[in-house]
Amino acid sequence: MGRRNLIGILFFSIFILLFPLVGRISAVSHYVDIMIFVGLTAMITMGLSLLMGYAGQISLGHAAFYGLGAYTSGILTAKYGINPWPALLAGIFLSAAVAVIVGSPSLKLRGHYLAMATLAFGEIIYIIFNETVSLTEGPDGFGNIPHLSIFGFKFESILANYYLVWAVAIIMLIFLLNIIHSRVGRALSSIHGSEIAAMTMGVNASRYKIQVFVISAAMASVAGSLYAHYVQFINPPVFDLFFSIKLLMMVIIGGMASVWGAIIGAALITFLPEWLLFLEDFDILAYGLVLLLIIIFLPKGLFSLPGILYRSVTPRLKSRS
Amino acid sequence: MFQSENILEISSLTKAFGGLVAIFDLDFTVSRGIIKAIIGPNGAGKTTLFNLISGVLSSDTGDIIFNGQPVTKYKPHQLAERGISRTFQTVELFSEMTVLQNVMIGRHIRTRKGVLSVGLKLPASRREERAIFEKARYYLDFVGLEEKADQEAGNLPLGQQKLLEIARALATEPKLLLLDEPAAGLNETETEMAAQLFKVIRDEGITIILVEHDMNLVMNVAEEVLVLDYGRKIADDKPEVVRSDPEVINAYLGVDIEYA
Ligand SMILES: Nc1ncnc2c1ncn2[C@@H]1O[C@H](COP(=O)(O)OP(=O)(O)OP(=O)(O)O)[C@@H](O)[C@H]1O
Ligand SMILES: [Mg+2]
Repeated sequence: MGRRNLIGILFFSIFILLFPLVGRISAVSHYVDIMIFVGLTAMITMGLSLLMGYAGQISLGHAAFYGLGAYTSGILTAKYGINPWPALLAGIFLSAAVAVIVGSPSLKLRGHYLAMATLAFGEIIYIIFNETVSLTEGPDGFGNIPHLSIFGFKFESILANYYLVWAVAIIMLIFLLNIIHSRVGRALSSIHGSEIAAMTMGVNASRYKIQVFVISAAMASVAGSLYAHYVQFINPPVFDLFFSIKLLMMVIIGGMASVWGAIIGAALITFLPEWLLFLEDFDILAYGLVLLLIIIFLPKGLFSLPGILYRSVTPRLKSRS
Repeated sequence: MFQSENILEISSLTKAFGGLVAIFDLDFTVSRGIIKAIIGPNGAGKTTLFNLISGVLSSDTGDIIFNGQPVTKYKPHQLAERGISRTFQTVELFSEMTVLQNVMIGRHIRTRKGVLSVGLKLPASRREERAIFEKARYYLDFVGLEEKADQEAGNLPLGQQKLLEIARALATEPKLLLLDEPAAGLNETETEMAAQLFKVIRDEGITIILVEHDMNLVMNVAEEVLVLDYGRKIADDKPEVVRSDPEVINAYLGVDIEYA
């Protein structure tokens, strides 16, 4: 996947490893908890960035895949006493299967049919979460979802969940970087370079678009399952259209064709309410403002900032020496 | 396996864009292992013909038989898989990718590993990636661009971009190679080298169809010349016969100052 990404992963892992030290500072001790949500959100936005940046498609239904994972895990473990790990797998398979059904017809066509199909799909899932009361307890949601455990170790504490979530997120990051630096990733980028050349080189665009969509849905589902086992309680509003839109914002803010950017976007938007508490209900305006500023001043997203700074500084350094 | 003598057989092919008939009732064949040139004035339908053969456009009527198999309604990726590859009149590179990566895309159709396999970096997918890399280097070497491997493709001078398109097309291991004005924009030495390259490719057993305005190049490399005018065939013969055909001279050669 290239040296730069390897070094990136190394430094990022060290950062994640050490971050909980901020928990010792009382004013920001709850940041570790927030970082769990950043990790969960990043699992979704990383997949979405591949979908948006490489496959050129928009999904307005990823909150629903997040919800499918959460509800599958929650219902199977809390109501049927099934072990959380097979329940998590069940969520993955369900989300992947649904993604194939929702995605295949629209991804074979050109244009943004996927955005419309996933919008409808997200709304339907949201209605199901609210209306199938016997299964989901409707708008009230339900609790008693057990924590995950492995070899007798229970992921109960914030710290344990923090490391679990980020270990999974980093594995997903590596998985996606591997894809990007493979024949599949090259095929996806070639479609942007020249669609007609990609076609005649035998790249079957719709096939890869579907695969990327399914993978991003499965990753969102894993995030949902981990969410359910951490919070131990789920209710529908977490998985609504607004969250799907926020996910898109995070990807755009981070820089669409970069999985690293997707993590940065997830972190920024997840922490923003924390920093904007004084705005109360007007935080949606702040989101809009941030999005607007970034689209205007950094059209390639926050992740392009270091490169821009670097390039603006290096000529000066050179002229000095 | 039975090998038909003709690699390509085209019959009654027609393609119109609205009221404009770009290819009309065209019949011709291309024998295996030759270089066949297609010439004709601007707008004669040469590029359209390539788009039909490579599946980028689908014809209104007519049949295309490639390598003994009817392929008329095939998609571009199906044709690439069966052995048709091409270059473009207006260069169509993946300009933000490196030179080597462009050729690596050419290996796409000859490799198989899917998204899970490459994501998990399974041993088989690592081996395949290695093979893609080596084959791509081989074809880059073949056209003499090995030193440019890591440059951004869009930064190459036009002549090298045209060579890169040929390397990328060869990397698909085609049986039939369609070259759309490969010498346009090249200087005299580059054109001479391109002519040599085409002959080497042909000697490797790859049939070439060459659309070209440079008559010297055509007369130098082509074994057969098809002349199009307003989407119709006006001649299809050996170069020396075609160059003295009055209808051809009238339609094309007579007014072409490039012909010396
Ligand atoms: N996609 C299209 N839509 C509409 N008209 C088209 C299209 N492609 C080609 N044409 C028209 O079809 C005719 C044949 O075009 P074509 O590009 O095949 O000619 P050509 O022989 O390649 O010309 P040149 O030597 O200039 O490259 C032209 O009149 C052109 O304007
Ligand atoms: Mg043309």
